[in-house]
Amino acid sequence: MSVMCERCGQRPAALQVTEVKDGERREHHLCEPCARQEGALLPVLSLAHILGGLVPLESPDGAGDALTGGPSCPECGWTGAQIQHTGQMGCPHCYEVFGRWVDPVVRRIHGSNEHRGKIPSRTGQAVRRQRTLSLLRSQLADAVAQEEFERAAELRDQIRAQQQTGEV
Amino acid sequence: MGAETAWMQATGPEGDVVMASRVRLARNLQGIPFPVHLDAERGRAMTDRVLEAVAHLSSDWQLRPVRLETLSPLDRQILVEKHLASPLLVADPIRYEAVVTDGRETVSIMVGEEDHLRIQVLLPGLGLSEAWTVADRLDDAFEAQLDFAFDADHGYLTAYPTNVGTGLRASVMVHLPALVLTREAGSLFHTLAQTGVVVRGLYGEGSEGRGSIFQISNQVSLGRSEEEMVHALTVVAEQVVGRERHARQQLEKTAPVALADRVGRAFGVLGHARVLTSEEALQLLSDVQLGVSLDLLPAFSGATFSELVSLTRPGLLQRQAGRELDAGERDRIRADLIQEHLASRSGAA
Repeated sequence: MSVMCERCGQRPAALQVTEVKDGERREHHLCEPCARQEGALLPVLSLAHILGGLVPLESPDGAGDALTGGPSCPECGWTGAQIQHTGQMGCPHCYEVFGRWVDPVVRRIHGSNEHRGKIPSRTGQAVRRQRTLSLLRSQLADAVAQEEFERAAELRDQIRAQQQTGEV
Repeated sequence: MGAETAWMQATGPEGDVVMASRVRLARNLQGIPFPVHLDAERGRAMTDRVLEAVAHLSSDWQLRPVRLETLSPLDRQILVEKHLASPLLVADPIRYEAVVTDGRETVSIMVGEEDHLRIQVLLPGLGLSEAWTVADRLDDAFEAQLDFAFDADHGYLTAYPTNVGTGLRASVMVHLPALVLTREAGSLFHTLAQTGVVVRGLYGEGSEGRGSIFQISNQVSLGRSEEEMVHALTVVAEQVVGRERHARQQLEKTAPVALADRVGRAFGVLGHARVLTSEEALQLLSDVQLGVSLDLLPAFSGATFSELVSLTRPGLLQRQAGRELDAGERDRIRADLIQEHLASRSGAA
């Protein structure tokens, strides 16, 4: 008697997946489609495989335009087909050009789309300022919502000051 | 010969299981294509720019740059055997690649591999957070001179999207003979894979499990700070150390004769064989090291396990011999070299 998939209950379980969460070990019995949806099969898929066409890549906004045949990087000339072929970007600017296709893959690989690590002092200056600015803006929104107008005025001045130093 | 290689020659914390710890940071220069898309001329300019920055770093780092085109194939192979360069970096054709190492070969910077720079720090034993501290300082020093490609969401931009964010890969080289013998290694690695940890063989993919030596590293480089990643892998490594030690004790308890027989045979063959291939030597050294760790055999004399594993690789063996050797000569000289490090104790036994 075969074990049924505990997620869908429709198909026989093909995989036993071990989940380790907060130091606790749990066994799950899943069919292949469910395991894929749960992300359990992802670690064995390398990025080159994903980008290499094993998993079809379409833009997530529903426009349906494929990576291949899409834009090429204006700075280095790299194309979507080359990304699919090599699994690599052509230059740093490619992240901006191909972000629509690549960012969802990045999120699946890393489970995140947000850098929380080191910020370089030179090329990261603008980022540091942006981080400070977005923090100040959310504080400003809070202050306005709570009708703390004095605090809001202070925050607004700080935001202006930040923006001005950025322009210098 | 001459050069000291700290990770091979010294032992560090948890040295009975953890041979070495490595932290590497992937960095790229702004506005320049990644190596996959870099022609020889611009590649050369990129290497020049990086080596110029190296020249301006504090002399405390004791960095020595070497352009790979100036090295013989043998010297390139030796860099790989010492884990100072990857097989990919030294693979033909050599275009503009370079390696920068320090006096103790603790630091190695690969220039022109998958990314423009791969800053690596390699220490003996379990010392990931120490390695990160050094890599971070060196990265700061480079960053004072070079504009690294970076954006707010992706962090440091790398050729492969698998490395974006921190660009950090932390890894430990571990010796797990008991987990392999008790067949627990497979399920352990399977569990580790579920937690975003990758296990590979001694010299990367395709060398799985030779001599029961594995490299364990983090897969995810985005979404957590460097300190969190280093800490997470340290915890994994500590758990692996615990499991391996437990498996060694279990072997001693449940199969003492089979264990003593296995390590004793390995010791006997290494002590008397006249010809040893590198595969056979690696497996026998691993068995003897297991015996050493359980006090069934006295320690190697004049060399660490890590050092013998490396010194008996084809490249370093030829360096020791001072000339090129064909495969048959290598196997004879390898057997001699290992015997030198067993000889002093055969009398005591």
